[in-house]
Amino acid sequence: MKKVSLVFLMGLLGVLFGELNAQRFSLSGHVSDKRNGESLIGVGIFIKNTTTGVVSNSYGFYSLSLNQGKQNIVVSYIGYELIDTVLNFEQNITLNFELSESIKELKEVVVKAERAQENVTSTQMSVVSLSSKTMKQIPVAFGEVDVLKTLVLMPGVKSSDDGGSTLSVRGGGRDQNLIMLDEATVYNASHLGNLLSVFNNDALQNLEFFKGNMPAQYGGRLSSVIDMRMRDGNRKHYGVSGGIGTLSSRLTVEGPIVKDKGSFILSGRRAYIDLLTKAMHAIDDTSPVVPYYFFDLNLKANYNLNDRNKIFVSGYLGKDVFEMNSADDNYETRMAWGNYTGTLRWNSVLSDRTFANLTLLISNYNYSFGNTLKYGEPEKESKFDWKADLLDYSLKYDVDFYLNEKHTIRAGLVNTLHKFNPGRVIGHNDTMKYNFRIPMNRAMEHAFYLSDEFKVSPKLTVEMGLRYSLFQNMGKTDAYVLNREYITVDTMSYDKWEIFHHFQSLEPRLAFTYRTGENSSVKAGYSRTSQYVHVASNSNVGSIIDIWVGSNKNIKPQLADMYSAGFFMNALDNKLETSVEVYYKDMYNQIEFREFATPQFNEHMDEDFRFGKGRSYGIELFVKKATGDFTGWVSYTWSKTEKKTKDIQEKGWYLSPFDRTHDLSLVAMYNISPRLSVSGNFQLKSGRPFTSPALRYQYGEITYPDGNKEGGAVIPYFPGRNNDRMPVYHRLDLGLTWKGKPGRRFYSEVNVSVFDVYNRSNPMSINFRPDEDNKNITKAYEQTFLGFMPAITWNFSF
Amino acid sequence: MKTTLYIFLAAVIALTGCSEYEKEISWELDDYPDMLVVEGVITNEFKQQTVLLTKSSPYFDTQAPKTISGAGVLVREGSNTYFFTESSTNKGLYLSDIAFSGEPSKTYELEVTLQEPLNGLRDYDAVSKMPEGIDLDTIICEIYEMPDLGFEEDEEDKDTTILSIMFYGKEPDDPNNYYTARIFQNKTCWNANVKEVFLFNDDNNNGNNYDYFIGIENVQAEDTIMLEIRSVEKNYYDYVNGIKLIDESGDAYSMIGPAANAVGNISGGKALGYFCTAYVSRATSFAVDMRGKK
Repeated sequence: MKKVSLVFLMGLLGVLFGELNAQRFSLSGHVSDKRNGESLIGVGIFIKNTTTGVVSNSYGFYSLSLNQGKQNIVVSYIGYELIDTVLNFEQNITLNFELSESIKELKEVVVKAERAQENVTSTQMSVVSLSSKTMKQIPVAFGEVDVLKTLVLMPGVKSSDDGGSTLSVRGGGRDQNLIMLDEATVYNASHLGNLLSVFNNDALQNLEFFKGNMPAQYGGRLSSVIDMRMRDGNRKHYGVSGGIGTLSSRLTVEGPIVKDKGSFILSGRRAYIDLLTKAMHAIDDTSPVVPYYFFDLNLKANYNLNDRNKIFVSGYLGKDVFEMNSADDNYETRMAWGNYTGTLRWNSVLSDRTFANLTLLISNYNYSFGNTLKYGEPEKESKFDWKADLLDYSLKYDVDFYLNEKHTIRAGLVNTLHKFNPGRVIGHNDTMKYNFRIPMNRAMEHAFYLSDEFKVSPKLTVEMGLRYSLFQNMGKTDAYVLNREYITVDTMSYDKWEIFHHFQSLEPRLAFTYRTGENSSVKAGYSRTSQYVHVASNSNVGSIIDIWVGSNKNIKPQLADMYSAGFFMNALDNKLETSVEVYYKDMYNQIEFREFATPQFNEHMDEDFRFGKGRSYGIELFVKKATGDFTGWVSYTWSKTEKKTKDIQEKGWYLSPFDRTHDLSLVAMYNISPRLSVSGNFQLKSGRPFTSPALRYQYGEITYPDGNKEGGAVIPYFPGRNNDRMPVYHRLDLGLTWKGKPGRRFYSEVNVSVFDVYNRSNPMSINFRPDEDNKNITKAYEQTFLGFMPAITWNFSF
Repeated sequence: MKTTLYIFLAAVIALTGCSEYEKEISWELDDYPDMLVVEGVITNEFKQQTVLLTKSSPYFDTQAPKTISGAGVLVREGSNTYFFTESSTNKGLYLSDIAFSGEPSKTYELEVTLQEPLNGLRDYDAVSKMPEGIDLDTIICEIYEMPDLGFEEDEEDKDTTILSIMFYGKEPDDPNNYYTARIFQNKTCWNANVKEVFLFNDDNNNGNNYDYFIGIENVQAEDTIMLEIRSVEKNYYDYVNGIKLIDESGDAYSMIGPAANAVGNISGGKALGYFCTAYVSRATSFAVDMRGKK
């Protein structure tokens, strides 16, 4: 591996030095939305009728190298009017483009015929880009627009459960997705016991999702990157928008700080389950009160210091709270969990060809749980409080260097200080006190990357990247030494900041694109990824009580090698995008947990970890129509994901809980009229694997002195992990949006959605147990969670 | 913890109108050959020790477990060999030919030879070393008012009292002791089902004289309460813990992961059940009603 990486690096540097002398002029600047001044990401800027072009980066910046003389430049972005202009290059030109949203895509054919066919030409494969506008149209449970649930409709992405926002990407675990909001990691992306994601769509601008072949600037997770960017806020004028939904309501305020120089956006969302049920209880006292709510707050501000420098501040705060008191106040319980993140960024255009970004990040996930029970005379008290959290501080520096029309170089480094506090429990009752803490620990995670997107010829583009990562365990902490049976035999204590162990990894990333025709290309790629932080939970669904832990002597980093290839073709004048991708992924040091383990509750948490291998392979088909009155996509995946862990199953491979052989999603949106649109999605997939018993036996009888016997329990025997499969999953959701008259100051729209239209009520789990009256009769039961559910949302803006 | 999570989920379900419900379904399971089930216990009580041999059945069978007769059963300890003979009244139950009491720190080895092989195996063995245990001295049983938690329950089933049991007895000085406990209320076992057996260890309280707290409900004043504590090996403690957790595992929202087996010690798991040793101690007292007393 090291040799391969070295050859990589030398090749990359050689190519670079060979090209450094070439001199051309540059066209650079920012691309923004004319209406609100917000930066536009992923806009194509290219020379007409050629393949020479670039795409605006995450901050709307672009830089393109051109030859001397007149050049016809085209700027195109889906849903926006095309800019077609001729510029005379006698010197470097800085030009900011403002794009207008197209009212109706009448020029669709023209626009599409001339756009850069990004999906065909870019070296990136296995990538999905979604705007908040698209996400808004897709019907989902509770009528709540949800970015993570939209991703489940993409090929290669599985969800562990109904309506859930836990993702498994190409066979990866649920902790193997790097979920970022303005570059800050969001560790627990779920509200409401995993039914909704924490991302308020009103505050989101864009999402990029890499399900493989991660570019070298991303790392730290094995399977995927979900890179979400918050909106900058309207730079032209003040605005208020919001919505009232079945489960929650939202309000967003935005506007310029200084017109055309800076803007802010503040967006909030609160679920009112508590208030609603209290109101219902007041009318009918048999109706239960559910003392639960969640909220999210997103804030972002940006300001142009000058033409070349821009600063951004953004933050997220979200929390779920469940608190309950007994009628006589003798019992109270409280659970709260949530994330907060903060991002401070400084963009600077160092030259016409160089864009740099300095980022400071903070990210936290925390949860607490406590209860108090008062009883007896004189009054006694039993109480406990439990807290855990994870805190990251990061410093990042990224540089994009548009060397010439053949090379775009990206380099950067990131340093993160992780502070893990896996859990502390303090409690007492009238006879004893307890106070235990799973040792806190710190770690530093560093990474450096360098990549070159090299246009070798008009047909062939190669992206070579290399990422080096280093993870260091630090004190002050107690580290456990385990024996071969995973039992703690010694404890080592380390001083504050003392580095006592480290891991490092070289991660080559390679991607090729070869254009096989005007509208088609073949792509292939290889990537190695490593992951040093892991979720310590035995649940596949995701739970509130998710502790993240860093690698250490007992928990090795997870590694993956992925090979992928695909054929991409646009048809019908680029109106239809199609692709076929195949992948094979080997995963190492894959985490499983000892049977019946609850690592969150284990003072010696490391003892619960077990390690094995994983492999996943599959074929993914995708057809998308992105323009016109009728839009949508079809995605189908055939895949297999298996694991092998000696301590879980003595011999052989067993299915991963996320394995679904067939997975089909249909998404369709149709504008019946300019003011009325309908949408629908249908999913059909193999049931997920689960473990079912084959045998049963009785054990644990007691015999009374009179000879009577009692208590033998019926116990199931399971022949192997995930030996069975749930019934086939299928579901249809429909939505309808009725928009207010356009052009008025106050705009509103009503969205009606129906989840699980024909009430399939897909089972969540199947349990086996003896009959309550006769233990010799054993039965199977299925539990269903969600079924037919209508929801209505009213959105407004002014 | 778990209760609160369930209340939370139930609450979410109630609110969102989600149709969480459970229904019986018919489901086909894999075929699997039957296995031997051993339930053998050697205690420190002077008595005829017992080993029960039964057979597993397909999961959806509707019959009581089938017993296994005609097997050769013996237990070795050092140079002693105790032979077991099948009871004439209880098929499948093998009693030691002579009464004897197990002793702490001694290792007992079980050997079972079946007349007909099961799943291709005729000979089985298992080993257990008897741990030191608590010698109970006294217990104090006090009845308190059950706090009203405000959960909706049938009035009939509603618990109105809670029993606090404090027990006093010397716990071994060496750490890593593991215990199971059952409570008998007027000679009926309150937690007879092995899934309801209390489990505790001395992690936080090694070598101390007393300091445990157990709460059970619906006890009347003057009820006779007997506490039985068994000191067992860690592996057996884990086995019982596994049995208790099986029902909670496998569920979609389970925090303890996929369904898994409680792994016993018979021929490395080739048979089901367990051959264990247990240091048993019991103490009895009357329940005292503390309600309204200062």
